[in-house]
Amino acid sequence: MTPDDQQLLSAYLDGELSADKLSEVQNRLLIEPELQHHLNKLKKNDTAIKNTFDEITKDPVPESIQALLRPESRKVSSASSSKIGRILQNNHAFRYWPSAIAASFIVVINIFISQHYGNSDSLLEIDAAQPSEQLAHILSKNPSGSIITIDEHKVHTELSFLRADDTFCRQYAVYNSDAGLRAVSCYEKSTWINKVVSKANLKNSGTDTYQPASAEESKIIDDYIEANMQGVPLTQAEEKAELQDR
Amino acid sequence: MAEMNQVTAIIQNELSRLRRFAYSLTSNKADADDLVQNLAVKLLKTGIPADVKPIPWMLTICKNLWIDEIRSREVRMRPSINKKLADDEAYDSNDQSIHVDANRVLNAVADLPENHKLALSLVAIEGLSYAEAADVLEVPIGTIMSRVARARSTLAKQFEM
Repeated sequence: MTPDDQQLLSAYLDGELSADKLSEVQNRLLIEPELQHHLNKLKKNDTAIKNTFDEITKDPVPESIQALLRPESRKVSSASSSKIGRILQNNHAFRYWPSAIAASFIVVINIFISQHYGNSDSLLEIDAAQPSEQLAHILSKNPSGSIITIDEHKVHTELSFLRADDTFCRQYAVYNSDAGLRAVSCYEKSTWINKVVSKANLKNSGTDTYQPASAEESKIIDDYIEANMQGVPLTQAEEKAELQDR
Repeated sequence: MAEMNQVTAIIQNELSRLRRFAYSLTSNKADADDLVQNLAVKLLKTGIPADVKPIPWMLTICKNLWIDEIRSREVRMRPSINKKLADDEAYDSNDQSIHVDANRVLNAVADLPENHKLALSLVAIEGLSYAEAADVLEVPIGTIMSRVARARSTLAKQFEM
């Protein structure tokens, strides 16, 4: 079987031959048993390949994918560890850091981040902030989808990704019954550094659910991830490997 | 640009096709579903342009995500043995022979050069025309024809062994 004949039979199987070539192959198949035998073999192999890869369609669709395709998953975040849900939530839920900071928001900041700041004005210099030691520990140890309760506050590790320079970064949220924030922190030189922080209308409702706010709030987080993320968020296995290094 | 609910509907309608295509690229079901999940994230984030055919567009994005993935891992994915089936003592001999063949197919396809595998998946598994596959892979139609034929030839030799 010459390479030309193999290509001819392959194109014949795919219905891609011109009328002239089709006629030529059909005539040859009638008088060349070897050609016919090879064609049958290719057909059989194609069937085996299709059947093999069709097997996955008999398995249930993973919940993480189903959740993504449910309209409600884009309206209210759940405690699901669905990376996709978290991304969508991120896309639609948050607003730019406001110049006027609500008093209740400052309470949250003070507990989790403000130990690095002397007063509320310096909160606006959020790009230089480090998460508290407690929060850094959570970011280093807990997979995405975890919700860790500390007193009346909850910390939600939302997703992980690698920045273009291979730095490990995480998106997380902190909230209590009054207010919340969302941030992206990256592990630079053995230290977690907050790259962006946004006020977020997250509320601890007593369950592990919270309500996203408007799309505007997401932009600062969205923009950072969009501009810096390498490819797509890490899979659970990739994230686990990164967390083992922390 | 298609509305979000339209994109969701398109993904839902083509989910079997997307999972099958992803499986043919990864040769691993868990990796395939991870890939489809990432694909869905991307499509819901960026949308599907109104002036493109949705299926080739989605397959193109899926292919690009997979190439990004294998580049970042810098390793070729290898098929995993279906442990559940291997551990299942209840299946009969006919089923066993089917699954041995399936693993052989998985291994053989996984060993194909990446560009041959992509061409074969698009044409022989997903049923795209050479022109459509050429659009997805951004190569000439003749290249698709050659890659598909070479992939089939390689697999035929593998299956004869």
